[in-house]
Amino acid sequence: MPSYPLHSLAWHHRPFTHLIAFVVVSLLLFVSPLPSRAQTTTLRIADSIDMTNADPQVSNEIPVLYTFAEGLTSLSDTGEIMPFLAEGWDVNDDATEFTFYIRPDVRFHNGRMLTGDDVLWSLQRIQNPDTGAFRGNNFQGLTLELVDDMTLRVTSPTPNAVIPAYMTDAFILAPESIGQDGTINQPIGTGPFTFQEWMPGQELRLAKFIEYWRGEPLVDEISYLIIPDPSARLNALRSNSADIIASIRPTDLPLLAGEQDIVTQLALPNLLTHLTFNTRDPIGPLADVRVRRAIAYMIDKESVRIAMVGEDGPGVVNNQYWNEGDFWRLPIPDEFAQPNEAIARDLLEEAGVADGFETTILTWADGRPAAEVVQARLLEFRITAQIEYAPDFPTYRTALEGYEYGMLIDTAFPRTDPATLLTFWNSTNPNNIFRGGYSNPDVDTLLAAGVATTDPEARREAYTETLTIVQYGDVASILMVTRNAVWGMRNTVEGFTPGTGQLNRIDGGVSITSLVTP
Amino acid sequence: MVILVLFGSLWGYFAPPHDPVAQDFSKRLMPPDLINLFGTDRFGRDIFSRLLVGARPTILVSTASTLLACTIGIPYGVLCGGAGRLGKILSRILDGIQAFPTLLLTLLFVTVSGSRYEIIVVSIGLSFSPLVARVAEGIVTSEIGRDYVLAARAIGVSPFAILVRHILPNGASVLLVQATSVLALTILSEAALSYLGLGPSTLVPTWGRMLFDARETMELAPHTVLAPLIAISTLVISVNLLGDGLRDVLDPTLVD
Repeated sequence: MPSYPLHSLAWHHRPFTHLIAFVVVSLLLFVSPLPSRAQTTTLRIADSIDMTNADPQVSNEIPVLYTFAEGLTSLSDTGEIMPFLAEGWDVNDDATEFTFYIRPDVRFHNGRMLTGDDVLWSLQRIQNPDTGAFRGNNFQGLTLELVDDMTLRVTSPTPNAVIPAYMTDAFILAPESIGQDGTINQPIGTGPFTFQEWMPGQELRLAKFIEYWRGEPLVDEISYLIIPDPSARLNALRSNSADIIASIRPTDLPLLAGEQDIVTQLALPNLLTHLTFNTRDPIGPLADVRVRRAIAYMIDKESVRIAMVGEDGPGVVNNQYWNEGDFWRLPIPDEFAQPNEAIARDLLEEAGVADGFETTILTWADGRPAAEVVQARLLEFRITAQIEYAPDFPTYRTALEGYEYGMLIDTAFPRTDPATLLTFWNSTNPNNIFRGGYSNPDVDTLLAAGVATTDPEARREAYTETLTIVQYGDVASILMVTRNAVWGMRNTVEGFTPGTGQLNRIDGGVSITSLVTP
Repeated sequence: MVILVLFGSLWGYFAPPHDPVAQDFSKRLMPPDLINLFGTDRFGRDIFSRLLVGARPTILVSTASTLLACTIGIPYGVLCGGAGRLGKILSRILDGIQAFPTLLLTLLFVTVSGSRYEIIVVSIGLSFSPLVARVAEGIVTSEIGRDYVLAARAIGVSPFAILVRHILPNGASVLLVQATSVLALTILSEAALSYLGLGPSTLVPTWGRMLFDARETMELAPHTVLAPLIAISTLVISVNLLGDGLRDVLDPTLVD
């Protein structure tokens, strides 16, 4: 006699009982007032560039650093330098001595209160060349000392009006951040979010800091996603895989016209696209200033503008960092505003390269359209330029350090003060690899003069002359187009403005950003 | 269809309808019309002319890669099948190489060595040589016990001569068909490399590079992506059909 499992018999005998029980249990589970775990709100921000180091003092400057580390000052959306971790500061008449008053109510992520010793330690660490701080050059020659527990005095041997501007990205960290190997892998800052986990090239995870001195942040976590490809980044926003994305290509804006769930905002300062020659170790005919000038006359800046932002996009042809109406707009007539084929050919003839030559254009990120415009234009003059496209920042930096390129096309990011922008042209600044290793003692002197006075007119004069020498004297660089960075966000994001592009700042950023149900 | 593509390539080389690199920003992303048969791209360049000009590097790179794959793959495969114990060791090495996806191998070579044309040819050729080697090994293994081989050995013909004069000619048709399959794959590989931005960054367009460029405009102007896509598909299908045709003609077992 065959045997049957008991449960199968039961099932066949009472099928409806089971069905009803199943439905009832399901309904009970569905409507029962069981306590539900509070949902964690994660703000997903996608950007193109990752940190180069977990240590914010060493890393290249990118917006996310400001979420977990802060400086004594902050850049406001109108471009002013405002108190931040310092309540304020005094400056003497000749701008050689600055006294910063540190806030008494700031806590580090490890719960300890911020003290003057921490500030002094952080700034001295930035100042120490062994640290390799990205902005270490700004602090060379300065004397740092504590007047009392919460007061820092910074003394400069020469007048230096931009020290408060330098403080915006001189990140203050707790000395406990230093790991056993002497480096910082888990930075302890004072920002609204704490550093959790970093997967280089992929994601940085941050958790909210409940004791943040400006109030508890409104979201629980930030997931900072690295998506270098602009199309992929845009798709992440459109498919709701990211809440906020940086650096939307202006030429992609028409795609978002019909998207009801997405809003775009322009960041306030300008991005500047420039073509800069390798003047440290110039290759072939590019060592001749006449050839560089000829190339400057070839380039149609309007074509570069259209390639970068489209016909009606947020960008203008420019030969400086500032647009019409900006305070720092300098009176520099643009000799290269329009291409001049005849002059270009004469100069090439004069330099003995009328038959052309071969060179390279190094670029990365969103520089490819501009590079292709320049490449095609050069070919009309028999100059064959190979585009070397670096897929990411480390590769780009390595290529820059190799000085084996003819010219580079890059975008200069907005900074707090003209001095912090133009310091890249200083021959003693290690970061002048981003400007082709340019070196001119006259420019060094002008840059020093620019920071040695608090008189804005005197500073404008120094910077006008600097950019005139760089562009029209040495023809080391051709500044072409300024444009606004475009940020996109889903309509579930509230309270976020890109402002100056820094993700946490005195008047905006992620500490006051929340996520809502649409 | 292959002849049509070759003709288009020659047309593009000698007299394309428009300058394939000339930019005209007043004609950006124009749809197809009588002047620009396939429309224009984001720099206002004529897509049809770029397709014609781009056919040449696409064909040259894929053909050279296939020749290289055969040059390396056939002797290696013959050794695997005919060199006794050494052949077995070589065969296991081949198994190891084949464990890696072909595109991954190509990407590895190009990333390490750079993206010049010659590097790309070598990278693709090396990556696909195991496919040819495996077929060559199969031919040798299956033929080596046949009567005509035993007869040749019995009369004192050297093993090398047996391989070259007797076995390989018998397997030539199979190898030729395999070569056409590899050719189709190398076309796709070249396109994939260019699409990933690892192709040669010269002014001369390639079809893969056109696809890469069109990513940014494919939603606003679908014609920019369709033209190179159709061109690549057509060439790959044509080459595959050519391979089928060659097999039908050359394989004696398929003759009625």
